[in-house]
Amino acid sequence: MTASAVLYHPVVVFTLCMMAGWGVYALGRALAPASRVIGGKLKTYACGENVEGESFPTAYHLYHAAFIFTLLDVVALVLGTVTGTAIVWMVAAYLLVGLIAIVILFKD
Amino acid sequence: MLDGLVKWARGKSPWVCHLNCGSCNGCDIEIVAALMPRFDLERFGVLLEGSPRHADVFLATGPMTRQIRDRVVRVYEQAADPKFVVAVGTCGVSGSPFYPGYNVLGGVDAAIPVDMYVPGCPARPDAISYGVLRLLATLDPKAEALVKEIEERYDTEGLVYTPEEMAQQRDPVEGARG
Repeated sequence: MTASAVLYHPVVVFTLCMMAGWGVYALGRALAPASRVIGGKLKTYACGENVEGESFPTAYHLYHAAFIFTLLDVVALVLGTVTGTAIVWMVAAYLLVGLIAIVILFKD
Repeated sequence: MLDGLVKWARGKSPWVCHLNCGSCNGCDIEIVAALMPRFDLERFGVLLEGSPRHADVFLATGPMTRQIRDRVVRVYEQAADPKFVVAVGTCGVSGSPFYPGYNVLGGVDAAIPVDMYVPGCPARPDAISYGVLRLLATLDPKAEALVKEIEERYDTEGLVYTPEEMAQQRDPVEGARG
């Protein structure tokens, strides 16, 4: 295995990216003055208004519609980008999983 | 070294947030004029920022009213440290002529600490620029040199007051005692 192959390996690239991000964050933490949590500092900024937390309904009224659109998008993406050398049964299996998901969605 | 770097960066890019505490909009318009190309505060790295979360300097106008006090304090608390406040206009400096009205608590410093006072009704854009520069001079040596040059070339008497000078103005005896 060559050095470049190791360097360009997805795991190595991912680790390096994470370390770079962490480095920027650590630099910011080192430079920033110590945080003073006073008054409403951690409250949501609303132009000075005192906004209290509010609950919201978690009913998924449109979840089914949104999910089927997502599934169809993924299926269309698979069909649109599948190459001639792709393993046919894997593509078919993928589409079958999508189909099963749609059936389960509309079972009720 | 890092402290020097931070100080340099802060002096070169002070983002300002405009805070209207009850102003008639006279000083607000002059702040806009100070930021526009004629006076061009942006040449010093000053950038008008909408959210106090991202701002270093508050340009506060108008007298401190009872209605706005809690909101101003909250906004001030929500800004990141270190933060500076420039009180713009005579109302922002002392609440005059509305102080002591039933709903007016005084100037901006009736609610939050002020680092520089720019009197005037309305405050002139060049005075606002000079006030911001005086503030920057506490952070950036180059801005300090520029302030000295301005003071040598122009009459800047009474354009801007530091908190100490303002204390002296308000109460000469107490101000002298410190």
